[in-house]
Amino acid sequence: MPQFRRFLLTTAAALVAAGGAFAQDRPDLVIAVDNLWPTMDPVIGISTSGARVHSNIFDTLVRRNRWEDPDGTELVPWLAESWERLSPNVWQINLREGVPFHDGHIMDAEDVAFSMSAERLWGEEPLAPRGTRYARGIIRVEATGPLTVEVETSYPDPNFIYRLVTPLGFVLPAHYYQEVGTDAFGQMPMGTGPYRMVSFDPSVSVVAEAFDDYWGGDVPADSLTFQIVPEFSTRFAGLVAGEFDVVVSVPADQIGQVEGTPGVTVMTKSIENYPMFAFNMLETEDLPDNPLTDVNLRQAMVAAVDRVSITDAIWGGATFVPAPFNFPEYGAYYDPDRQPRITYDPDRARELLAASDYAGEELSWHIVRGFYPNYEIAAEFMVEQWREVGINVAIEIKDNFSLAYERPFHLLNMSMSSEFSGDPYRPLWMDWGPESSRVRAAHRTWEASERFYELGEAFEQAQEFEERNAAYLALVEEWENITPGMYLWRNVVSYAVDADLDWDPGNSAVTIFDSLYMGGGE
Amino acid sequence: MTGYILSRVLRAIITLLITVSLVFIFIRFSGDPAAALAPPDAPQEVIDQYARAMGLDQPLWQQYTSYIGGLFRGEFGYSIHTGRPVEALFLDRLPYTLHLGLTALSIALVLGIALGAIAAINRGRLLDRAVMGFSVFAFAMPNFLFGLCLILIGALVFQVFLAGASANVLFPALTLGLAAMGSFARFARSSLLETINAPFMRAAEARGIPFARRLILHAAPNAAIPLVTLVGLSLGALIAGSVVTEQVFAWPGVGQLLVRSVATRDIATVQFLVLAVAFTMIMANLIVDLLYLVIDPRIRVK
Amino acid sequence: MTKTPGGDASAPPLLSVNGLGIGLPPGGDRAEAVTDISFQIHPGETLCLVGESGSGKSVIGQAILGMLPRALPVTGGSIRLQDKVLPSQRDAAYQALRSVRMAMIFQDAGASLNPVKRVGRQLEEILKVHGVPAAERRDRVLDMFEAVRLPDPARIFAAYPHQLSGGQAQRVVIAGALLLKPALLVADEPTTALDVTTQAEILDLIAALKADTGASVLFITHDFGVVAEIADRVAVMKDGRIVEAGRAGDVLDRPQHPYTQRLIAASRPTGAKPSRAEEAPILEADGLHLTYRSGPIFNRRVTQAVRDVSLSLAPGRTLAVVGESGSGKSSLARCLLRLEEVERGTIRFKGADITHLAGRDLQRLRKSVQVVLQDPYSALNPRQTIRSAIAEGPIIHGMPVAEARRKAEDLLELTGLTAQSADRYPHEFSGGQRQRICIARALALEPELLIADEAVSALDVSIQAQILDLFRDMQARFGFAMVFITHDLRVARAISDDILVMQQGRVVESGATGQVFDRPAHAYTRALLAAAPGLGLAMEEGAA
Repeated sequence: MPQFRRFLLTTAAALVAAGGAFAQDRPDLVIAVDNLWPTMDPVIGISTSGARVHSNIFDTLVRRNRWEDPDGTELVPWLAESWERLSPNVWQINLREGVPFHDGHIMDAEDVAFSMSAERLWGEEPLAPRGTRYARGIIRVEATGPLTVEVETSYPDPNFIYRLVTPLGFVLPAHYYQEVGTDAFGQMPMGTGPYRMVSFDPSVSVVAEAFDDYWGGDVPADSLTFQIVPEFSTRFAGLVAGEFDVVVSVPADQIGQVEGTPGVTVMTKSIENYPMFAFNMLETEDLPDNPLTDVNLRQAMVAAVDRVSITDAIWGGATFVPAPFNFPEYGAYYDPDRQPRITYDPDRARELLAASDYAGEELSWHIVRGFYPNYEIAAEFMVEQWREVGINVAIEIKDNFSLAYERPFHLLNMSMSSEFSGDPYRPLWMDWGPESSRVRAAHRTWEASERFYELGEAFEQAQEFEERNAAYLALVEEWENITPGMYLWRNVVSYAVDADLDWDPGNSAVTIFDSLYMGGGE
Repeated sequence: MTGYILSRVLRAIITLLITVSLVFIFIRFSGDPAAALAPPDAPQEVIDQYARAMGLDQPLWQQYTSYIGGLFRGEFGYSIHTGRPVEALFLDRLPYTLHLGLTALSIALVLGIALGAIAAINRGRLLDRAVMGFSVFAFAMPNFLFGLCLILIGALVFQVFLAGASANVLFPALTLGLAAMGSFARFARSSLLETINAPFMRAAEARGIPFARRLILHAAPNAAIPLVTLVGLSLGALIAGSVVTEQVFAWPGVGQLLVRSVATRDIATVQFLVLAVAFTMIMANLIVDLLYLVIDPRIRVK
Repeated sequence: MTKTPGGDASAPPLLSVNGLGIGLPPGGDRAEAVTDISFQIHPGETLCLVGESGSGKSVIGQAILGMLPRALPVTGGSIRLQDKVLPSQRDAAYQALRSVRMAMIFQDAGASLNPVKRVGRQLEEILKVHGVPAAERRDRVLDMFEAVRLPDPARIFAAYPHQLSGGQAQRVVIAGALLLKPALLVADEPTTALDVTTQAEILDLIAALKADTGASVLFITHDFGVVAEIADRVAVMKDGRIVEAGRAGDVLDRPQHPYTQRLIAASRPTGAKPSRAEEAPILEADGLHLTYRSGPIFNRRVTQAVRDVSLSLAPGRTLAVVGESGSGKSSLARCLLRLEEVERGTIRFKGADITHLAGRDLQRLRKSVQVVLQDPYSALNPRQTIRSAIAEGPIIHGMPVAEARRKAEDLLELTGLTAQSADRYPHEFSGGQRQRICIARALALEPELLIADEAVSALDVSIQAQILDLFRDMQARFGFAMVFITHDLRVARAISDDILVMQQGRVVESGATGQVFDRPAHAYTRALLAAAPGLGLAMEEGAA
């Protein structure tokens, strides 16, 4: 059935049935983190630091299977048992029965409808405004039965289900949320997840204990503590001393050293996020005669830098430079052989530069201090390589994004997330299309060509893989012809863990300490 | 003397107002706080919603007057993230910082003065040089570096974790107090030396006053006078140092709250914390000034 | 002035010092602070130990009280108190002797009281540590305050040292010294820091108390004027040895040793300085004119700062230039220092015309002519140790560094500071101490002429007296001539041999200091004298 896609719970169900082996002697896990988001509402708290906690307290409707495939290309029904596309714009979600919240209340369609409601996520002045990008196009969420929910979108979205693995898919207890209010819920959240929140102090720690009525079966740790330890060296010391089981964010230059410590294992994971920069292609009042309006200069800049060598030098094989929008997490859309149209070629760069009107003006590159690991170091290499071909770029380090967004700038740091769309729709069309920040925000950097819009609309319309894949490739080609930005690499997160701990989060910044991710996922 | 105290109090209030105003301005001009709360690529409507929630959509002067007005009514505002009154957040963390800070100050004072006295009594000998060498080291050592060394040595050599809220306060306190200890030691030494060689000490000796009595009852109170100033001055360094030390030791005090609040642009919290720090400093200086009146009769009459 | 007749020479001596020698740390200007010192003090007798600073007289006092620092070891001889040899230095046994059998008072009484304790308590403490019951202490202190003629003893009892005048402080200290009725009082320059009237009162008091209690006094001083007031017998010290000793009258009237003669001469207010006036003048100025011009060309203000000034100064003598501010005295100094080019006139130094000297010759002159300025605070580089401040000049003029640094230490000692302080910075010193450093710095180049421009004006009166003493001592030692610019007639009176009175750039009167003060010829000089506070008193004292 073409309109209907369905995944059956396979692995997870088998595991749940086979559980019960480690009910006793469960460890108390302590994860040392660099910080915690000040609220644990899984949408208001969307952030790397929040994502480490959320999935242990809450469950999403759908999950990606990263315990068997690090890139998680397979969708696994989770709180949703199944789903069907009733019409091009309407999806029905069928919920699992008998899933208890941490207060014993059984989850039903009303909870799901509330969690995805206009009131909470996508109406006027929603309670949790940070979720709008996941809820894009949703115009109706309705509980149509005790365990069925219908969602209607304003346009046909073949990959809608992928959104249910994102914070949009977290199911919150409507009764509790409405009773305590948004702020209090953020301080003492409740979900259906394997761990129940015991205490939360945003500048100290989150403590959660095993929820023994967890619908998914046994919970592998007796308790879970996320403790703030801002300094990596201190986190490392705690790990060595046996105080911590997992510590996050090993600085790239210390990975070797940490790996050499007995009893410590380092995990580096490339994740679904790609640091890059945008060329500012607009001529504005504060930037008249912008040389970057010339495509030759933009392409010359891409050809002038050896991203592959720089990435290898900095990351030592932990990650790679992608061809534009060619990401392994996109399954069938991923073509390991596709190469970027513009590769490192200094001679070509000089030719392109000669063809441009560029006269050596200084181009300023706004970079947010320390936001993307190793970004500044790579930028310095790149500035050198640009200088060699005669392009003059000056790095300007900014303390936060709102300062980086202040014009004038020629190059602006950014990153592109590939999560949840299941295909290149989000990074390619949502992030560069007519509704994107690139075009609409105060810090916009381009106005796409007519052709880009036409191709993009065709891509959006295409529902079948062959058609959609062809549209995608055409759109990428146009993007590369215009060259409105440049990818650096696939982002990397790293963990140092107690060598005895059997835990692997897959290629994700989300950390989950349930029985699938612990114990090798067998 | 009442006039003296009144003028000091008035000056303190003006200093506080200036501090508060500067923080008010700086936090609004170091990037839009609403944009900082929203995700990097959030649509404008989301940023606007945050701006409204924080009252940033009002004209600046109106924000300012309502903030200052609130201060005078004792309303310091609410954390944008947790919705809790900021003074409650502060009071949660204060015991940790007081515990750390007072322990550090005690360590610095007791060890510093003891070392200074040992050096002064053994002036010019090897012990003096060793103590003074150590105090220069203590003063010059950046406290984050010293703290990290302590923590790493503890973990790698002794398998003990010296950081965290449940660890012994002694190690972060030693780290925090180290620099002050160094300067106290050097100051105590020179102050004590100067006093020991003062004519009245010779005179006391000539009157048949025993050595210990001369040292404790005559030299010490005089040598303490300049030290009181130094203690007052080093309080600022202690507070600044506590931010760093709390970070390094994952000590959940006011310093960490401040760092987190700045990072998350929790305006009301940042404003209150800076106000609290400024208030502490001003009070400390006031106390030092009043203490002077007590210990130095020469000032009392003026 | 009362003077109690001096003791009982037939009774066995209270104190006898026999062949006492005290060593100096290695590297000093001599091996011993004092050598082979012998003297006796009989009950009720006052012995004055006279000498300049550096003569070693003070260490003898310290040795008697057992308070010599380790750096100054006793190298020989003995000290007996009533036939009992005193314990070795710093022995704990001294605690029972001090205040009880012998007491000591110091030069700066204010500084010898703990600044943060009430003076009454400090005196009570003496009684306490020597076992007097608590109930008696306060009354005994108050009684003693009365005995030293302190007004309102109860108020003084509760006062802090800084609330006392110099004279009151010295009375308090004397009261403390005599509380336990010691047999011997060692007084180390107890009146030097006091102004002349107070000095006289304190001397009077010591004499009277001595008469009342029968105590003996060892009075250490550099001032033969004081000797004349108080001494029964005198021992004169020079470079660590007693060069002359005898009955006070004999020594004062017929000094045998040339050094004694010089000291006695120096203590006479005027005219007594061994006159070198007949020698060829070291500095001569003839018809100096200096005009300052300022302001725009067509509205130029012209100030005639120095008009036709002539002067002559013999080696080793001091010329005071007095006048109100604006009288041109500092401009004159600047001319003599060759900091201003005179319009007309000539300046001769040692017979040579230096009026238009330039370049290397001027540089050489600068070594011979040194200056001490009014403000000792700004005159020293705050980032330079005083050792290098003092050694800098000699090094520039070619002295080896090590020698210059040693010399700096010697000069510090000479000017009344300790060599240990050489490595400290100017801010660690008081104003008076800084002026001493400035003087040491000026003397480091062994100048033949010293020009002091209001060099004591910024100092407290008591410090002023000390610094003037220092100038006198240094002049006696090094023999330089001095031009002393001052607005203060008392200072001029105290320091100068000759005087030059200036008004509006002109010299209105000049002559020998005593003569000008006694018989001022010019109306302006008379007006100045009439306006000067306390000058009449000072003149009386000086003439006594």
